[in-house]
Amino acid sequence: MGNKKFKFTKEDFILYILNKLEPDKSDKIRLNKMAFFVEFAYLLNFGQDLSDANYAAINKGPVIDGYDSLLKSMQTKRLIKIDNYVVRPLKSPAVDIPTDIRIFMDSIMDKYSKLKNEELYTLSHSTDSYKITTNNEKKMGRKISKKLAILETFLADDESQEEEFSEDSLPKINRSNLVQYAR
Amino acid sequence: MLDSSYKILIDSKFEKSLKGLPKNIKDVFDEKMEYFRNNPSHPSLNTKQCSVSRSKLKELGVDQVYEFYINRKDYRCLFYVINETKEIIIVCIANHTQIKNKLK
Repeated sequence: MGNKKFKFTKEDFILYILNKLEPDKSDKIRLNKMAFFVEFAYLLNFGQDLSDANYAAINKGPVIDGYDSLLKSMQTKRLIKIDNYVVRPLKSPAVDIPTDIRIFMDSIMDKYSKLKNEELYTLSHSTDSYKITTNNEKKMGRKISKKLAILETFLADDESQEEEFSEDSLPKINRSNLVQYAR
Repeated sequence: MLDSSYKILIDSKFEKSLKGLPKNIKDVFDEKMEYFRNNPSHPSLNTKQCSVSRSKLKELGVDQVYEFYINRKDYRCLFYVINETKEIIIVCIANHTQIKNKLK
């Protein structure tokens, strides 16, 4: 799985998610959180971008970078309708989405649609990507590197088995080989 | 408690093997090492002390053995701590199978 040729534009990605959200739960918070989880789950599992959206770490948690102006632009183009915090799609994505990608995205969205907004909010704040980018919520506004998706193992398809090693196999230190670590 | 006053050391042979890691793992390792360098107990690292007997620690000449996950699915980094000299010694970074084989 993972389709090297396919990549959503930001607008089509947002439209796909909005078309999947239940109308009474279709707001900016849910849109942003779903986008982040779906994109980072895809990155973790397949090692490639799902969309050309980037993500920023703000005090509301991970969000699509520039989402506010993007949504306003989409409203101007009559792709969506915004009514306070509620956002509804007026169209479907203008792209053929490969079946395997659709199945993957839907599985992630189905899983997280069971959570309330407050739970999505808390979960997104607890991700390593967010904590590292904000230095544990001390610095806001930075872009979240997509490389950090690899840390979000809770988004993985399967749980790894944490094998313990035998202490008998711990290597001895050879002081003559030690050097100071430098990046 | 581990803090930024500890010197981080690495076996020069192991340092060479870092270059053989998948690029995305190496990038995340570098990212995590920046946090580790400033605060080995940084919450994002999920640093965990490993259960090792006193006799083994004495044999190795270290006070504690720790690990933190690069990618919980595959890769983790193992390191030793010597408190008297304030040293952290990176032992290896590998996936589960490699750790088992490397530590044989």
